Amino acid sequence: MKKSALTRLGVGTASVALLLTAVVGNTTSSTAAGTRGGTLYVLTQGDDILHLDPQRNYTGEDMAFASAFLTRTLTQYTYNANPAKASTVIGDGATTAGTKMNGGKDWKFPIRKGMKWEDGSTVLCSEFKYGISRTFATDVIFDGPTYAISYLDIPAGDYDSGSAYPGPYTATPAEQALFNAAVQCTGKPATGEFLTIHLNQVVADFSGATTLPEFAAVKPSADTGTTYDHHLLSNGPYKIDSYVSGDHLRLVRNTNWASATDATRPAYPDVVEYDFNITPQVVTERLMADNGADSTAVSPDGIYPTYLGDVMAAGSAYSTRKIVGFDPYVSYTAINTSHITSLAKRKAIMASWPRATLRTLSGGDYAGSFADGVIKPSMGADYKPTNIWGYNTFKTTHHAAVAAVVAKKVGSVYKCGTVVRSAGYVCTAAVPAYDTVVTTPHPGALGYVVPDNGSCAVAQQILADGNITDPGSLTYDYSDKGSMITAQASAAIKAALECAGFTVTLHGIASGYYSKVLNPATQGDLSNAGWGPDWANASTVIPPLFQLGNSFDLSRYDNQAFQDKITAAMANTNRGTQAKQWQQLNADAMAAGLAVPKLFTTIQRLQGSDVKNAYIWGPYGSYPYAQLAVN
Amino acid sequence: MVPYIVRRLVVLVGMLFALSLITYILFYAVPTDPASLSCGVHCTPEAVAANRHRLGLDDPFYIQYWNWVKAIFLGRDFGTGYVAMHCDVPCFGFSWNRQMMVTDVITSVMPVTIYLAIGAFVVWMTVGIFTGILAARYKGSIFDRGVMAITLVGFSLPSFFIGLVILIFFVVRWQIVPYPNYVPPTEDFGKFFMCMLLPWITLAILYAAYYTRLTRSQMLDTMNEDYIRTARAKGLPEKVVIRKHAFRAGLTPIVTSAGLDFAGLLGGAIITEKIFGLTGLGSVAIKAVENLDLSILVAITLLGGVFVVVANLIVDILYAAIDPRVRVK
Amino acid sequence: MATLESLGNETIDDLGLEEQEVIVGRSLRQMAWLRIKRDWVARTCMFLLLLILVVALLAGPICAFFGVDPVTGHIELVQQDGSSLPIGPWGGASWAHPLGIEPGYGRDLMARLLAGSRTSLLIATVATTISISMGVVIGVFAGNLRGRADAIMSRFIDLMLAFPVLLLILAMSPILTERVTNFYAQFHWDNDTLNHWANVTMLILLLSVFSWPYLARIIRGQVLSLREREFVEAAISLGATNRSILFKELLPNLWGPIIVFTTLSFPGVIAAEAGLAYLGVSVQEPDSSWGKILTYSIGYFVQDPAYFFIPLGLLVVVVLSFNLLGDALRDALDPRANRS
Repeated sequence: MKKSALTRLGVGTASVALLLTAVVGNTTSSTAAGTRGGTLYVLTQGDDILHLDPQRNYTGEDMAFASAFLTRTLTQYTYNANPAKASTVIGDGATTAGTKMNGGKDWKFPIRKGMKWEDGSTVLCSEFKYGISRTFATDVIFDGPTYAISYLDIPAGDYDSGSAYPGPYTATPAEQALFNAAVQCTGKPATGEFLTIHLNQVVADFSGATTLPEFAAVKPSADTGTTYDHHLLSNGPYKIDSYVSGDHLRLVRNTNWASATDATRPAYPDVVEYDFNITPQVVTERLMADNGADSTAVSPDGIYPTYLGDVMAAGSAYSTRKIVGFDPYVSYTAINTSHITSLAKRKAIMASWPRATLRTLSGGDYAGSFADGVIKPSMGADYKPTNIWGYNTFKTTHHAAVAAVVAKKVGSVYKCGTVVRSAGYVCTAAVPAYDTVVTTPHPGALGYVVPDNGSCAVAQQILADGNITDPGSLTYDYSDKGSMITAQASAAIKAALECAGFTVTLHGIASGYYSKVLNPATQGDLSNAGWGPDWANASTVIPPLFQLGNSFDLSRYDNQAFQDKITAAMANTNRGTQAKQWQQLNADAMAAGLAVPKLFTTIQRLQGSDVKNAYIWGPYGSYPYAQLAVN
Repeated sequence: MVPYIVRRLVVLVGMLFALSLITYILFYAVPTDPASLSCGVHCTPEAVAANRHRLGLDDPFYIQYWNWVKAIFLGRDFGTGYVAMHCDVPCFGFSWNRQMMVTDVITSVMPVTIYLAIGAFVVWMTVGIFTGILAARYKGSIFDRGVMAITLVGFSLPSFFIGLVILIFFVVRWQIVPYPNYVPPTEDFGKFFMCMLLPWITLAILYAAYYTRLTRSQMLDTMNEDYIRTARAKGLPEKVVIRKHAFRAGLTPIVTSAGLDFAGLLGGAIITEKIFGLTGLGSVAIKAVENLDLSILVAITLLGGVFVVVANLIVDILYAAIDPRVRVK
Repeated sequence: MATLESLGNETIDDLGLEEQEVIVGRSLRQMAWLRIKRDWVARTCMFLLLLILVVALLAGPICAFFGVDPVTGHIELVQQDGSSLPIGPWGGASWAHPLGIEPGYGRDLMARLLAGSRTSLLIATVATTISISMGVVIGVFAGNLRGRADAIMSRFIDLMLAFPVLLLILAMSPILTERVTNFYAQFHWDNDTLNHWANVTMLILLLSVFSWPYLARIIRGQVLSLREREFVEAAISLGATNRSILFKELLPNLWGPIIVFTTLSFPGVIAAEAGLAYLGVSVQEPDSSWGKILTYSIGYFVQDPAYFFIPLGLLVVVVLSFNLLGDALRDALDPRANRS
């Protein structure tokens, strides 16, 4: 789930952003100290955890929560406050991060001995195998990631998933044999089992994929299909004590979990309680007041906007309790190219987008920096500035200092807004005020310099260049959870687009936002969205977002050349040249007007004074739930 | 008396039938296909068709309705093989969204709503009637005017405002009461009481304002009656006049109204539950509306209706017991 | 009728009309008018309500005079520290923005309130009119026909009263909006007009369709008792037609309950609109209504009180005035009022 600092966009996107490629090998993670006991509260305005079922859980915060407390995955990220270190993949259900064989086409995971389910039985290799197979039963197990279907060496077939294997519930022995050939267990529980996974292509960073709960174990006799969310059998340090959707989820210690088998989960609190459906404003009020039990509370929600200034102010009473950091997400608005076929119109939409207004509404500097594509700079080699918006260089005689700073930083994605402000000036207001400023435009991919807040003059020019006299009407989909900020943002977008000549209908969707916009029948022309990579490869960004029919394809860009480039990049086993391909595809996607990138988001969180070991954990942009202790 | 009750029971059954039919038509005649909500984003037409068949949604409408009614009394099985589910009596169907049987959803949250309604009812009836009588007794005094002014303002404020003010100031800032995290009364009555106190008060404020006014006007009306003048004339103390004569006589419309209000609340106090994050029928209903969870919506609508119809019947029977004229009317 | 939660349940029993004896017809109305004219509270309330109505009707010219409009954002007038609160005291009030601006996007609050007033007052007026018309027609028919037809209609009214109104409104609103939008599409209005009227129509229909049964029940009771009265019997014995009995004898005597019901129903609809907006059923951005403004501003009542308390004050004044006026009218229409 993409959660920005202010609003929850809805459901269904993925999570993990990394700075480094996975390091294969058994690394011990650093574990911070804490005292055992107490109750950790998690307060949220959300009304439920979307899915606890490991094969269906695909929202960042929920994955971080479930894998910390209930579900041991094959591999995991390291718990470390430094995002660069946190991205190291280590073993969890497997003792190592997996061994690459056959050049990365086959992967072998030694299953950890001594792991127990909450009912006391041993966690077997065959149960990991069973868990992985559930992903294929797309009629029962939906909403989850589908990497197993894409990567496992199972022939394509006619089932909904596109595979020849229908999942464990309905498979004939012949079909089950297809799966058994791709995923094999060897060895005995007593002496050590090995899980071997055969892939249909080289996936050099497959151990990143196995951090997803999609590759976690499920005990067949406990599997209740669609209702497994509520009847999850835990193999982590806690188990479900009571779970009332919309009210609370209470976890207590799983007495069959042995700390000896688990170096990364110190399991400090005795009880973990997730409280749902709290009025948004009240969540922040309670954390600020820090009274009684709320002193051991955290919240996955952002700080309520009106309090953001107070909480973040330097030297405020909250300075020791707030944490700030980067999350893996990019917020953007997808342009449905099957509706808006004209490139000029798409470019005009991009040019008129009021990005600066939207940024201020979302919390200004706290919301993040202006995005220039769907790949975040934290993706390392996969990122390269797309220069989509273009920039101006300034020359001034009176204020040479300003001009120097501006000139030095041009070409950076941060551009003049942040830069000039750091020199003590307001960019748009102050700089043009000096009469001797000479502006030299350096147009971007849209053909013009587009200011941070968009420009309807530029948009009209683009439309005129494309000989479009009547731009026509547009619908804008957004997730409407009753927040004033989201409503105002949509109004600002409407005003900006109408200034350029479009007619806009706003389509606020109260619930099930992503399932509605992902359905071609109910998707509008423009859909607000957010996405973060699943692991440190833009193969978890560009294909899901822009490959036709892929899991998060809102742009529906039916262009053979572009689609072929994606396929080629996917198949490329050279990570270095692959990174170049992602850079190019990112720039191409922007130039083709597939999406309006909005922000590379940052997040702020506030927790109670008795919560220890809190930081923004890089991989999920969440709390390091497994590490949290309460006094 | 018995024929009257039998007659009313027959009418009740008819009403319940009509209620269920209308509810069912209202929700299942909508242009939303419940089956399309029952699988993920990449729903193929075949998967939708399979789910539709499994849920019995491919049958003609009257058969669907019949199966639904039958399930309430006999239970029902959905699907076969690995997707088979059995739904026990009383079966109101399966909620795809919650992946639970509707009956289980409702029974798990019903106590919260019932306790909320009972507590609020006690608070508003006590406060409303007591203040109403006092205001009527001292009609025209500063007390009367003050009470009337307060009730009018209380009446005019949106309930979500009252709830939020109480929550932020009384709970978070001044810490007079802890944040309401629901605990069943059987588990820890003290905690339960403290948790429900503010929701009770929030909900009761509006009703109390209304019942103060209702009691006052009823009292004033009856105090003008001739028999009160007679009672006074024969030298009864004012206290006795009010307690024995005026209040008793003025009580009936209050009881009618209170019975129906209470029954209405049993269907869920949506706004109060939402503000205090209580998971009762109201919040389940809101969630069901958002997700177009028709099976839950039908069940809660029907349940709310049943409470009111039954409350109506009880009030009428009580009247008939008191006043023989009603029975023959 | 203060809230939605009570919308479904409050009976109109406190009108005290069902058992009330209406002895004189026309002279009572004259008497009531005299009493109202003498009552300063009633006069003040009527004045306030008329004032708000006139201001709402003149929203366009007023906005033009102040040079404000309800859709233009002024992001430069809000703080850039992440909170987006208006810069300056009193919600950023200034000569350019007399009541200040919204936090966030910085649209002019006065302009949005005026636009919202138009929407809310229109919804309340039309919804009340529809529910009164339906209530009177169905009530009169039921009371007049008596026998089996009356029994069926009464059961139907009971049934309507039994439904959890708020839940039905919430559930029906998306479907109804879609239907109404499709219906209006034939008029080829521009986009914003279409959306505005589709949402307004949806709210009007939902708020009126569930409130007529209250009045219908009261009217039916009145008609039943009136038909037993001497003056109706006299008219019948003089050979008056059904039609003339209905219009000459019955309707004039129903004005009392109708007027009082109006003064209670109108603020009820206003409050119901606010409650519905809080639950997410309202007009779409960038349209505004009182309920929508209050729903958004409730989150700011601590940090930016002006933004919340100005709209709240307006709403309270309207609801309070109508209630007080209703009280005054009821007293004025009460033939026994002289006795106490």
